[in-house]
Formats: sequence, structure tokens, C-alpha cells
Amino acid sequence: MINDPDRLDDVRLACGGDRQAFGRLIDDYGGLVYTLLHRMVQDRDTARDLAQDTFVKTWTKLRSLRKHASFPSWICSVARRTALDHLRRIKVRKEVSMPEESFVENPDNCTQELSPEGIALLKQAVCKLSDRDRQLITLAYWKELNLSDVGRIMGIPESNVRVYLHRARKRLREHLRGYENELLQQID
Amino acid sequence: MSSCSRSTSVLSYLLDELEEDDKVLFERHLENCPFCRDELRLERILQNGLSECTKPSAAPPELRLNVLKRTLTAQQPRFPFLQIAVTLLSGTAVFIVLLKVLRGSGLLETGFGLLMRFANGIFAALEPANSLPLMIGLGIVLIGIATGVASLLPEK
Ligand SMILES: [Zn+2]
Repeated sequence: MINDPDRLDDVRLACGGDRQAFGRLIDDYGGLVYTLLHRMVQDRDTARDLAQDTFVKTWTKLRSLRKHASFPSWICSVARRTALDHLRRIKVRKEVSMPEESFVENPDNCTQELSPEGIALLKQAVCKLSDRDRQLITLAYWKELNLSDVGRIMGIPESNVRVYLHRARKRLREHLRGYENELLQQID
Repeated sequence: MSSCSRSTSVLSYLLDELEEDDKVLFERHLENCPFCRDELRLERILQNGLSECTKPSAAPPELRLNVLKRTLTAQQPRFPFLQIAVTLLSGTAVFIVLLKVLRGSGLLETGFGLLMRFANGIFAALEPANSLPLMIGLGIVLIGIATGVASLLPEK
């Protein structure tokens, strides 16, 4: 959900056909869209192309957007559908493991609690998750989206999002089994 | 201690999903259970770690320019439904007018029995409008209605 009035204004202007406002929305949400696509299609160039397609589609459908504040979840839904269409087209096996490069690499960005080794462990574990779990966890931690947004994007009833998230976290823990002490020592 | 049956509540506690009473009870349990305390620390580390390493990366630098270029050159129809409706209805209108012309010229009487009967049926139903200008008018009205209806329908 958008709370920032300026951003909300941009959505409203873009709905009325203002290209400059739409350009600002691309700047604001391009990273979100690109990252989601990259984590789904696992290829930078494809994600770049699909990000363009997503925004062009969004532009042509903007008039049908009823709630301007839900623009972030709406555009993520369009991106996810675009990626699924692409994957269906190229008939890629969907449950392949993720390249770790699609996760943030810059150690400066990493939490102070976890060392680079800890982050590497966590990334490995996330990469071992199923497509759906990984998408769910990715979206659930984005501050631009709330759980009902995540539900809308993933096509899951909001009431189930929490349940699925818990399960995803549980599976993540299973992938980290044996490394618990290592992780705990990170903050000692 | 190597496990605890109440450790299933750790994540709910961390995510603040417990009812107030359960929360108080669980906090009391935490004081006496080193296993759950370790679990809580671990889940907290994961929580922070996840929100860091799932952070979105920056948008590709050329994205904005490329998208805006494409929205200029490849303006797509706002409502595919409108296109379909207009195509169908203008097709129908043209068909009706064509039938009228063919029927008037007498071409349909030779070897097109079924089509002739169909045309007669249609024109009998539209008796008061049984003239070419009225038929064309009807076609235009149909297209107008289709366009109006389509523009009211939001896309999914
Ligand atoms: Zn315990």
C-alpha cells in the first residue's frame, strides 16, 4: 500500500495519461519489479526485458486501476503473471534452484548481526526453497507490501498467507539444520 | 535441553501474532526455557537476515527510458474487449447490410436457398427498419452501443 501522498499523486497522474509521473513510478518500483522477475526467471537479461513488458502492460491498463494506493501490489501481480507466462512459453522446469546472484550481494547492506558467512548460509538456504516459498518470503519482507498485498499477488487468500509463511520459514529452518550453532555464534 | 514442545510458538511470538494472554504465558515460559530462548534468538537472526538479503536490487538504469519510448510508439489498445466487441458488431452490421443488398439484387434467389430463408427471417423480424439507410443506421447504433458498454467495463 502507498502511504506517501506524492507517490499517490504520481499514480493518479499516470492514470490520467501523465508520462512523466509514470516515469517516476518506474524509478520508484522498477527495482521491486525487476528483482521479483529476476528471482522468478533466473536470468538478468530476460528479467530486464520482462520488466519493460510489465511496465508497458501496466501503462496500457492503468485506467482500470481502481485503488491507486494498491499500485505496488498491482504491478507485482502483473510482473508475476508476465514471468509465469514467460516460463510457460519456454517450458522451463519450474522447480530449479535459484542463482544466488539475484540476492543482494553488497555486504554493506547486510544486517549487522550476521557476518558475511552467516548471510551466505541464509542465502543458500533460501535458494533451496521451492519457487513458491521463495517468492512468498521475498514478497513478505518487502516494506512496500503488506500481507494482504502478498496474498493478492500470489493468488492466495489473505488468511492463508500467514500459514504458508510459517511453513516456508519451517522449511527454511530445515535447510539450515546443523548450522544453528554457527548462526547463533554470529551474535555472541 | 535439546527440544521443547512449546518452541512451535516462538515464531508466532516473534511476529507478534499471539493473543495477549498467550504472549504473557509464553514470556514466562521463556524465562525458564533455554531451548526456546535460543530458538527465539535464532529466529530473530533469521528475521533480520531475511529482510536484508531479500531486499530488492536497483532497477536496470535504462528501464525508464525504454519503457517510456515503448509507451510512445507502441500504444496498445486500452480495452481488448472493446476491439473484440467492435469487430463483432461491425461485422454483424456489415453482414446485415450486405444481405439487404444481395436480397434486393435478386442474387440470393439462385442457389442460396438457405441463406435466402435466413435473410428473409432477419428482415421479417426487422420489418419496420426494412430499408437500406435504416439498416446502416442500425449498424452504426450497434457499434455505438458496443463502444459505450466496452468503455464502462474495467479490465480484470
Ligand atoms: Zn521451551
